[in-house]
Amino acid sequence: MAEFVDGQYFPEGYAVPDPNDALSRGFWEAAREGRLVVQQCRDCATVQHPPEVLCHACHSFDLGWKEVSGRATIYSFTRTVHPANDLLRERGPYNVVLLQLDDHPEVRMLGNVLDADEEGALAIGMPLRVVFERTAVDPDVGEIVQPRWRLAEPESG
Amino acid sequence: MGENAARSIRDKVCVVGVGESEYGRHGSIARPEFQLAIEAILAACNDAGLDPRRLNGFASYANDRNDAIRIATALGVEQTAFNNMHWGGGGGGVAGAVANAAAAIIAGYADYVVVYRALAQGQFRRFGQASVTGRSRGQDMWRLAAGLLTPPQRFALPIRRYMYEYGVTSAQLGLIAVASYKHAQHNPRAIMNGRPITIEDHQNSRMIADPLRLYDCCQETDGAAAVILTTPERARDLRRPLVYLAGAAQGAGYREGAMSDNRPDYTTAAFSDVARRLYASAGMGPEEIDVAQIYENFTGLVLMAMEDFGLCGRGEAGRWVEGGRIEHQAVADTGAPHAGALPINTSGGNLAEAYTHGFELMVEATRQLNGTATLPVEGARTSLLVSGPGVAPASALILHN
Repeated sequence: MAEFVDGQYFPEGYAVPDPNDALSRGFWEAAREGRLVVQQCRDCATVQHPPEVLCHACHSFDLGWKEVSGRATIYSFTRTVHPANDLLRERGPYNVVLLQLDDHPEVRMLGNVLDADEEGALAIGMPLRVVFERTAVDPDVGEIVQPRWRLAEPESG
Repeated sequence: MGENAARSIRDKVCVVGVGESEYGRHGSIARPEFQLAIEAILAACNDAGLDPRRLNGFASYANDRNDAIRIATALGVEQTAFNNMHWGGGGGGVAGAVANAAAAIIAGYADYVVVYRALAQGQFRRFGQASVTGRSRGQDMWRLAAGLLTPPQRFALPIRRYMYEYGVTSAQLGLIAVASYKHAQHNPRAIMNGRPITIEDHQNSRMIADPLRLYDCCQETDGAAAVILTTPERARDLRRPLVYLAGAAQGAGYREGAMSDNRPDYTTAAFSDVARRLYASAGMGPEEIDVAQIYENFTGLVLMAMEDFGLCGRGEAGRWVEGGRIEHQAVADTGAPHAGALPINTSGGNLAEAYTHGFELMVEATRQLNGTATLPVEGARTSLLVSGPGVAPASALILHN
């Protein structure tokens, strides 16, 4: 059962993804339903992220979406201390993780781990699970839901 | 081999002059960026002993704002026969732009080509700041959604992974900064001249994007730099001793431009393919390099680039830079066991001289071979320039005298 969260990781006014973006629309539609998906080639089954115009392996344009478990592992991370702008200065330090999907370790995604902004909270190899942040409801494009992550217990078995 | 030799650029082009504008911290120079570009070009022509009106080719990179025809018009050059912009990759274009200019000379398009980069972060945007509002789309959306806005934030990720895989420490990163600052104390042009740092200063400097501290990051400055290329025949009529282009390579390997940090060889500086082609082009190997200028966007990527170029083994750079190995003999600590083995960034580079998007490193690579360096490496015959670690496309070249 997907977990939805209402608090926003970044402050009001920070850029939000356009869910109608031509290449990634299916990703954001799935996120609204609490599903994490990656682009998959219908011809050769190659998985790629971020979504691209064509399959980089076989050059097929016939691309679909594959739902993944939403479990992942921290591959690298940073804690940004020096703010890039005034909005983020007010917010304070935040984390950015590069994660490997457990179902498809060949695919890396950028993300943020909730409740883990303090120094020393994160380490490479820590398990994560996806949650879905209800970032905004935009009068033009509708609901904007973004995957974020929580530290998870290691999966047994 | 025969075909490769015929197609090689080796010894067909010389660097005959180098120059720069005044360098200053961002916002400290009131003159517009375009004027700084012109000042650097005139300085390079003066260094060469060449009338600027005889320049007839122009090359740059990273979408330099000061386009060739505007410069040609301002200088009143007699003819503009080559205009070239190297695609993308930010500082990855330094050697690439020089190589493009060399190719134009060999092809006969132009006789005297100036390669330049002007970057005034005071007049224009600071690279370390980014305002992000509205809706994000396309390729940028993924980085922005996760809050990766500035280069140190972005490159913290591969550097962290590299440090993790090979047990590299922050203090080893700091040795890159200390070497640059030590070298800058001999360079009156360097912005950090008169402001030396120790490894303790590096370790105590404030965190920017963990693991990158303030002194791990390149400066945000105002300045411009330029070099002039021509044929060896024409070079003999000019002022400086001959410095030849031995080889050059640009580009990337398989999927090295994959977005959202999906490039396959994540703990390299993305030079594996470029390094191989560079050494093939120059007909030499890493053991023949006497002095190197390695683009310091961030200290960690310098270590990763050293490994890509075979200056040390994979995963060994952190230990390799200890013991004064990358410091000029004259600045290494007394008794340092490897002092001066392979000095890098001998003018202070991006960290301590100025950040002309790395072009000051091309200027220094040349000066090391024509007797005009502020901290000359004695007996240097070959000079390596590495541009844009961690970006794609990137580039590199080797000079010799």
